Amino acid sequence: MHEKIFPIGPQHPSLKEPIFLKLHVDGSYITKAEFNLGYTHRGVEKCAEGYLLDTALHAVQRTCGICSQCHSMAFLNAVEPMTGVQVPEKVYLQRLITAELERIHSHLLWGGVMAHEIGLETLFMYYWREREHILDIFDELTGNRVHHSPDLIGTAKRSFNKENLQMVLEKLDLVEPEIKELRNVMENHDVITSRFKKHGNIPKKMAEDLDLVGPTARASGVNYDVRQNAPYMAYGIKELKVKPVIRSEGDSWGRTMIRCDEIFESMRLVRKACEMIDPNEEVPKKKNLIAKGDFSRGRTEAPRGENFHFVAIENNRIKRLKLRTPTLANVISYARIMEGEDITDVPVIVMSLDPCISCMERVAVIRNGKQENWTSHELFEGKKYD
Amino acid sequence: MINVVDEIKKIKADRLISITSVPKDGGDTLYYHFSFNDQVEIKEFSIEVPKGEKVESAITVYENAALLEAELTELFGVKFEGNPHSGQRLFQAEGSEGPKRCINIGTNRVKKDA
Repeated sequence: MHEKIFPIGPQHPSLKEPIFLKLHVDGSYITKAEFNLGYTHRGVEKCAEGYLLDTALHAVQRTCGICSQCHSMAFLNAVEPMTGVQVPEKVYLQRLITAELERIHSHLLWGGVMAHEIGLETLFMYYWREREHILDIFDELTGNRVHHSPDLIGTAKRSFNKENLQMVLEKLDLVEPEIKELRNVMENHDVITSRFKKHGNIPKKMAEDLDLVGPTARASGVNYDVRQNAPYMAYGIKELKVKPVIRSEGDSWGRTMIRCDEIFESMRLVRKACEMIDPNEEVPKKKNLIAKGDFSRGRTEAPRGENFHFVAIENNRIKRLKLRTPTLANVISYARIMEGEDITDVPVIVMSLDPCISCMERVAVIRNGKQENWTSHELFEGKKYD
Repeated sequence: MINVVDEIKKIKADRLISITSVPKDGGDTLYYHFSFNDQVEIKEFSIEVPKGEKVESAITVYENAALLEAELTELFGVKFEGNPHSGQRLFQAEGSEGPKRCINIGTNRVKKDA
């Protein structure tokens, strides 16, 4: 048989973000897969270096357009203990509400894109219609639909009031039955089941060996969720203990159903947090804080899995910031699970892992002590330093 | 070459979360972030890597080190011995020489490695 190379990407209709998949095919079956990254560097890590913690937080919150709050919380998990600031419970609850709404929004976004990949355009629009309601909540709570940016070190930019919380609960009541219906469609649609089941298998052993995270790992039976294993902020409160959804299939189907079910667990957490929060309490004003120690790290459970931040400090400024996003942890499985699959299943398998490429590709660049504006040519070719 | 595998084996962590390079005195400090105790705790194992020195790859203990080390090679110029993926370009176009986008925090060790 003649083996041929079939390229997918970096620009391709089935890819929402640029990544290059180099598939070695025998007929239509994939014998080997390679991938190239690096088409959407933005220099987030380097943007933060040299800045005060407050300023760096602005860059960190803009790492990802989908899980902005989870990046913010991972960074705060790292730096707040260094400053010794006492964070009120209300601030923690506000962060939890935003983070869990973000998970709902992320999974709805993913559900729509997945439906689009298999040609179910109507389902795609239904998913994104429900997502709009969640974005409306973000608009109400934070003033921003995408990069919510509600946090400050030790506090929040604003306090959620009674009307805000009422709106959250009303919107959740509105979308929940619709999302249940969408889940039923996902579960029972013949096209979906036939194309998802037994494709893109990740056995539990492989998930453990590759240290995969998030729904990708949990769909293979790995019981790991940062919110459960190492509860942070409001997740440590007894009533807000997370019950992670675990499945054992390990295929595209398992990963799909995990995300469908996680939405309802997030809704439970948001409703409970709304009950517990005191709408009349004001959040404290921002303080100038000094960080002590050389370095710290924080992690959160983002919609795609464990999100890890390492922060090294020098003179109260960021010396080095490292973000290990969940997609970077999961992308290593791509090459493995493509092998033996039919080429027509590639879009579904890729999307079942819910990659967030621009979130993953952060990258470090040089500023050399001065703030400079870089052209993309300078950034990618390093011309300023030749 | 700096040997790390034996030390890493002794640690007996649940998982390797990430590897971070922090430039220092022309070389790098590498932090290996491990989770312990049913993923509850995180601890670091760090080594000093003088400029130009190679580091033993941790891929034989943790498979996911492949990507993390490849990233450090391409972006920071830290060389790893025994990582079969080190030649696989992840972030740079084929044919380009790395590292292009490193490093030193505000000061000198910029440019390409020798």
